[in-house]
Amino acid sequence: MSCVAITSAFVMGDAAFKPTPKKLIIPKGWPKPTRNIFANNPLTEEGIALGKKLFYDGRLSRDGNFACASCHQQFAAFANYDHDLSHGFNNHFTKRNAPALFNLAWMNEMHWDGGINHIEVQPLAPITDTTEMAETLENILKKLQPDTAYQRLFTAAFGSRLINSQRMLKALAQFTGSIQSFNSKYDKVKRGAASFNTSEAFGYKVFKSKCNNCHAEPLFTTNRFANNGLTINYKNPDAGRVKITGNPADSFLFKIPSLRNISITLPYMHDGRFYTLTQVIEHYRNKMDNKQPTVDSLLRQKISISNQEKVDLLSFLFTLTDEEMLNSKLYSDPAAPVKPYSHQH
Amino acid sequence: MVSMKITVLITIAVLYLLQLPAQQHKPGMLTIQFKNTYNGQPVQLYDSLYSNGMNEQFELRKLKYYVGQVQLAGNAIQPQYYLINQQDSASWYFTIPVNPGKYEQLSFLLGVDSSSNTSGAQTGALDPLNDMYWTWQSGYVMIKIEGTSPQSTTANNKMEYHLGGYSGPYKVQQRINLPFSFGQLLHIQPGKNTTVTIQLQLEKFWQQPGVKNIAAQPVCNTPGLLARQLALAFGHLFSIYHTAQPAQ
Repeated sequence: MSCVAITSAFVMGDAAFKPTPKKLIIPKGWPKPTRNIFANNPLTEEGIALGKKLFYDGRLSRDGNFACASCHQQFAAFANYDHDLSHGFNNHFTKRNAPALFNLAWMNEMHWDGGINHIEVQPLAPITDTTEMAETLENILKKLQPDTAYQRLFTAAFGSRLINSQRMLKALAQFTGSIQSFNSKYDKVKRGAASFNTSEAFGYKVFKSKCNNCHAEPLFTTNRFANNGLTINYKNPDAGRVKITGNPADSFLFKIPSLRNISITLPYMHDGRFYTLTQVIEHYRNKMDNKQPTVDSLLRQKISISNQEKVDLLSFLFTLTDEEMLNSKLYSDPAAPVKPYSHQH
Repeated sequence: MVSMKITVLITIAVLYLLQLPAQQHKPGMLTIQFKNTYNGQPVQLYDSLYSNGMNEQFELRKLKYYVGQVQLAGNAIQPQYYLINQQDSASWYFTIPVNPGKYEQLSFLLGVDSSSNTSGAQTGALDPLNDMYWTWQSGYVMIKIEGTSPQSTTANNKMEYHLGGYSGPYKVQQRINLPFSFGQLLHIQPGKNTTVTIQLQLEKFWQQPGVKNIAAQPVCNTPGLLARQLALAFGHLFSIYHTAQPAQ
């Protein structure tokens, strides 16, 4: 009898399974992603909601302290504000600077060295790394499976209560892959809804002539890998992309990051060595070690930037901050109070 | 009226004829069993000290590898993957439907194809839970041999071969073709189960070109030339051991 009941419940569950489809927004003038990361993982409101809960859940880490969100903070465009390296399990530091997370549907390779080939398998790295979340998939599933809230969310997202690694990873990919940034002042200027002040407008010209080759609009990156002439950090040696490709020509190459939200994703570079954008510009116009054999051909002569250009460029870079994304409830912790310190009159 | 009757009769006859071959082609079942041996005896994890023929001894802790995309000539490739894990006897065999007929050879992919390495989170045998997925660089460890050897120069005398890499010149996945000996073709009969046992003779690993002694080469855990060489060597260890045909 109970068997019959269970079967019919499943049948009913199946019939009732109608998740709400969501579409990735492709802003006007943007290229289409070269690969559809949601091809085998249709984006739905329920899938995103589940992914968001997982993203903010410390239980994905060994001691419960390190959710994805602990190193990827919304107010920092999902980078780790003011941390060159992040804090992980058992007082460890991570090996590299936590990257910002947005517009990932346009990024085919994840990590500073591009070692991750699909957004769905990316979380495996921080989850299992002993200096980061230090947990196993088995343990996470054991923690999630008895949780009735998760049973409901998995059912809503995938049609049954089955909680396995594939569903968990697909849900996380739906959430992180749907974080989009296209509402900065720059975007509004492009749409004709705002205008640059004089300094920003000059800075935009400087940007287009000196930065746009690598940090190409509208994504503000080509997602290419390059050696930008950072001196070798002997205390944290990291040869970058060569570790993945085995090709010596890829030594000290790292992914070119997007400049969107750059004002709040400090510190900068794969090891977080620069805390200010002034230092970054100083690097490109002056301090760079451009004699390394694999330094990018575009940087062999460094970049000539005058003091006035530097000031204007900084003004422009500040227009790339997307307050709407940083404050959007779409991306915020579902368990957090609505307004932490607001007056209740 | 007459012509209509004829039409109906012809239609029925055609449908009947179409159905005949379908009945004859009721699939047979093929069970493939992997028998991992060392000098003819089943491989023992932990308990046995083996000699590799190079004056070195070792104990095994893990022996796992992926097989998939099984094919008999004239049949569609079976898309499934299986993880053969010496630790788990239930993983040593699997059964697939195949068209009846006589076959000269069986082939399978040793490893995991490129597309399954690049299309996101997988499940079943390919679930990253199975301890066969790299996290720092996407892709499957396709063959895993782990143990200890007093001759190994690494910490804790580890001997560890994690062989993977799915693209480029150093990809390790490879198709293994195993012929059935003359006069002993694989005969698949409709509705019946035939079992083919494939032997992996692990002791021959150290006799293959490209495989050095453990002291010189105790570890391989990144894709590259060494992984490719060791995986090709591993691919040479398989042969048809036995075929159990059902009674006629």
